[in-house]
Amino acid sequence: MKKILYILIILLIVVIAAIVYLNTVRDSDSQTNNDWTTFPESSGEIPDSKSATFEIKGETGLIEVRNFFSDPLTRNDPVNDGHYQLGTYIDPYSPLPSDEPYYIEYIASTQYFNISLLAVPVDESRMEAEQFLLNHLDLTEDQICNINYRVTVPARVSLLHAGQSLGFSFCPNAVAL
Amino acid sequence: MPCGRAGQGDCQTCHVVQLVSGVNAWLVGILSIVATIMFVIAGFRLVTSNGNPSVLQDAKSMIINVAIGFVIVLSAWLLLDLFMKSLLSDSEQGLGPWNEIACVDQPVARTDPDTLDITREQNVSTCTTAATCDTLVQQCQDRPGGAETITGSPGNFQVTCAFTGSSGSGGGGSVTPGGRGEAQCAADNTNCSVELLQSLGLTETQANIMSCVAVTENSGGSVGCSGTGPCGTFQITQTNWGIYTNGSGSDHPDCSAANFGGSISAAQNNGPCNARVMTSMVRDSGYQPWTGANTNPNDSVPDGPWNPYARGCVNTHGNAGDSTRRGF
Repeated sequence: MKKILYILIILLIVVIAAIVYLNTVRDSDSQTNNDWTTFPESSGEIPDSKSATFEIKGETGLIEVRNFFSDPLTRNDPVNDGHYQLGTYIDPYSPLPSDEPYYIEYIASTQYFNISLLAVPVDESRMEAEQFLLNHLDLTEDQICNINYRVTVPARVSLLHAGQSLGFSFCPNAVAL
Repeated sequence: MPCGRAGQGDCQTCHVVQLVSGVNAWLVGILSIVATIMFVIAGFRLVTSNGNPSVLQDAKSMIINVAIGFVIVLSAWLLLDLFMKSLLSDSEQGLGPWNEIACVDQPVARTDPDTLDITREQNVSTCTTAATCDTLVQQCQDRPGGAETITGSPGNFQVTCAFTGSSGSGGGGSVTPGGRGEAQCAADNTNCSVELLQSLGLTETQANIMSCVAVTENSGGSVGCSGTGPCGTFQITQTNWGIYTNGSGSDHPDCSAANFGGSISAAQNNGPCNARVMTSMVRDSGYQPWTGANTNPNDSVPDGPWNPYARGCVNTHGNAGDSTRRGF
């Protein structure tokens, strides 16, 4: 009788040890799975503040632009490292909708310009964004058509134009507004 | 079984397992009570034996046998639990609860709205300015199953509105494939490119759809609020943000407002966090938070979808058999 009791006690200890071990392994696995992909937020091509110009990649090669990082209208995005707001500024800490006509987000790691048109008439907002970039990047219309960019409108701004890649008005394949 | 009755979901195979688990737990409970009673009886006999050796021996044997039986029952329970835990990989419960089985609703195959057998009617209106066209689009979206197509050129647009006729029943609206709802975030847009969303765990189809949804929600930008609560690339509401970021047990506690100076808007406007929370929402609810019915009476399009163009994204980039189409 005692033998059976000892066997059962040993069995119980083995089972408990196995459960503890399995849970330890699982915990370490889940911690590994929770290590989300690190986003490619490299420093990108941020020029020295003394440089008057620098080069960014374009569709047909490098394009020399004015150093817009030293422009007072270029601001760091405080909650997105390596992202910059050009021209207008939307405070990420504010829950209020922006009353700006456009929002240009520059992602340094990929040298990409994301342009949101935030006010109707959309054609006027696009024109304002275009003019800002032409002047502050010091580019011609031909050059600016080759930068890495996209112009779109959120559905909350215009149901008519949402979901389309509009392009700059003077570029080939631009959507007429 | 907790299924099949009024107010309960349909029965699934999982509920049978739940039933067996329930019976198992019930038996363990009953046997615990029986063992306790047996211990009490054996103890009583021990005390009232008056030194009679045979009664003493019987009482001791009874205690030992009950103890052995009870250990066998508990061991079987633990072994079963260990076996099940070694088979199931999605348990993040640690050591407990041991025997709780949660049945999750299985994806329901849904008929493509475009193929529903409903009577569709359409009318054509002309507009000359963006404002008038927007009004027509909105009126179309307000109709049951309304889906508009815009043709023409500046100064002379035609808005064709297809909607469910009076004899029709239900049916989801959709943006005509080939129309708007096609543009996706650029490959270099680290907020919402297809490649990035796939790296977060979305399937290729889901990533294609949600990259498109990001363009219609916030133009693919990381920062921006609608004024009613939603913010960020995917315009996630504060309620959903709380569900997925509040508390150490949530999916993304590092994205809670507490980590952004107490500002929920700042947390929502953080691109990586917004994309991660969106990924969890798609996993749990499909595209419903973007394509589902808008129940807010104060919204500009009450009873329409939250984002009409999100449906266009699903129709353009999704597959008809994709189970995550639920929510239309």
